[in-house]
Amino acid sequence: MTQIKLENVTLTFPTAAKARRVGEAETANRESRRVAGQIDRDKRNRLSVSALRSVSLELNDGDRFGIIGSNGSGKTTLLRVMGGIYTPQKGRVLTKGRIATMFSMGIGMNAEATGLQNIYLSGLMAGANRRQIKQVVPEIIEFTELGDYVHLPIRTYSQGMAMRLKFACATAFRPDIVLLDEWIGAGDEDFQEKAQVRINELLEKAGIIVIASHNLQLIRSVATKVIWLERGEVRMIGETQTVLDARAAERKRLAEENDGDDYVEEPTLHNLTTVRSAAN
Amino acid sequence: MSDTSISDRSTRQDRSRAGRQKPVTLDLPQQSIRSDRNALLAALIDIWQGLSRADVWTALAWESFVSTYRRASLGILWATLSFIMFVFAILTFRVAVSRGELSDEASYVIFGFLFFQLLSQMILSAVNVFVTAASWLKGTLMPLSLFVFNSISTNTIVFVFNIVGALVVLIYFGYSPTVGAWKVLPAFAVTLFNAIWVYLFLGIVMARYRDAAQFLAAIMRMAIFLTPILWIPVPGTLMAYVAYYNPLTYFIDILRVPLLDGTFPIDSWKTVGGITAAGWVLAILTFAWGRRKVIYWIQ
Repeated sequence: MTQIKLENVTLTFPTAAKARRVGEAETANRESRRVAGQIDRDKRNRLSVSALRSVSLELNDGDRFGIIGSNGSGKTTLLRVMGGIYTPQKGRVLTKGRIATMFSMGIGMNAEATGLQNIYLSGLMAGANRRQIKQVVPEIIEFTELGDYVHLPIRTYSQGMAMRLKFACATAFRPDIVLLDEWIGAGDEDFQEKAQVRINELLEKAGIIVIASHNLQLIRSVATKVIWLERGEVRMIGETQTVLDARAAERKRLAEENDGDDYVEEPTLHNLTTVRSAAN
Repeated sequence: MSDTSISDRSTRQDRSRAGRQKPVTLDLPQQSIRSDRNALLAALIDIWQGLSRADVWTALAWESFVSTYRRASLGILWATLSFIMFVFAILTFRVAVSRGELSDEASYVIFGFLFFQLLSQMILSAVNVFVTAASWLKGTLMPLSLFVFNSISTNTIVFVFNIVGALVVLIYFGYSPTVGAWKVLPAFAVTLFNAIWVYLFLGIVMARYRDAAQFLAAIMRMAIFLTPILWIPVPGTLMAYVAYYNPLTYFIDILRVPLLDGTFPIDSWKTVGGITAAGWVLAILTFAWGRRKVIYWIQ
């Protein structure tokens, strides 16, 4: 049985910084309300960023879970808590099942090593032995379409190639739980289609998939349940459509209050890529 | 081993078979997370799990060893060559200072430097063992201790290449081993056993207190002069005190004495025994305290 269970998870990032003047934490909180976690100050004047506040949820076999929320709302932190990377200061995390993660690109890859060596490394890390890895190598090469590139160091790869490899490695070793953070943006349409197929395959074998994304269209097509985070707190958790509707309504209401200053059209896959390439 | 040893040479055939696409079933071990486990118990489990995944840390160690020399045409030969070069340099220095006859002391200096190099490299990498593993730690759930064993084995590989260099120089100076030279083996095993606690302890403490890390790096730069390698402690002198309070002295001693005269240095062994016991207790407590926090410190 595969399961992820979070009970009252509260997580704070300690920082080495001290408040430089009275009220600094308060000012920062007011100014960056929309894009960051709450900054707290302890008795010794040290600052900490509160990333998650009493988050509880339970996911079981077959759940496809989406995490939405603005920048700094705690999406990535929540994923990493599920993956056991961060242990929360308060609350409990219990998971059952083998976890594969796909967070940012550089993580979990060795740039100097060849694609093939990286496949072996990630296989070993996933708990497979060399014989088992050898079995899935053809499958990974086929999926990634890397061909002879697989014998070159991955520092020579384009971002898309590296991402294909990473995605293939993350999903090749039959994980029960897959945690994905904004992964689909860099791939072309072809890759995105293949990735969807792969995810569906994984889900057929029952398991849990969690995706954190700003791409609501992606969330809508993949997730059956959604959590909406705001400043590290659960704003809403439930059926995908219900949560997305509630968020859209809220954004519209806020926009009307602000005379439309802040209102941005709900991002679709198309305009998200445009925004991203403009930012680059 | 070639530098493709962690990969697999039969890929070409595998790829041609890929077209057929038969679903592969893998039987992999189960995994679970319990964040509410007792910290001390969790630390011990971490050490055990890290140790038991030798396939991962040996692969990582070999990989990081070869990648150091990957773009050099002499490749891993440099691990041996640089050692030989340095040994000749310090022997020249030793002769210049003492005006003595070189061949008498050559093996003392060479073995001393060989083992000092091992100890100091381990200590220096222990300081950032978790900091350098950050990119793995942020992405995958792995026992922290796995990176300790990884780094210890990387340094052991380098050490083996240094031994080759040392042998070349020793033969040049006409060294012949004694019957009791095997007594170095238990000393080496105990040194590695100590390396584990040093890594666990320094890895955690230095990730948290970066000033301490700088301080230790400064100390290690001086250590080559403060450890009896280039000099022999004469009782009653200042240097004898320095040697007495330097823990490295005792490790160098248990490793070097068997190779020089084939005996067990009992007194040094007793001190090492004490250091081992106290160190492990300290390290396990420190590791239990910092294991879950270290990820926040290395961001």
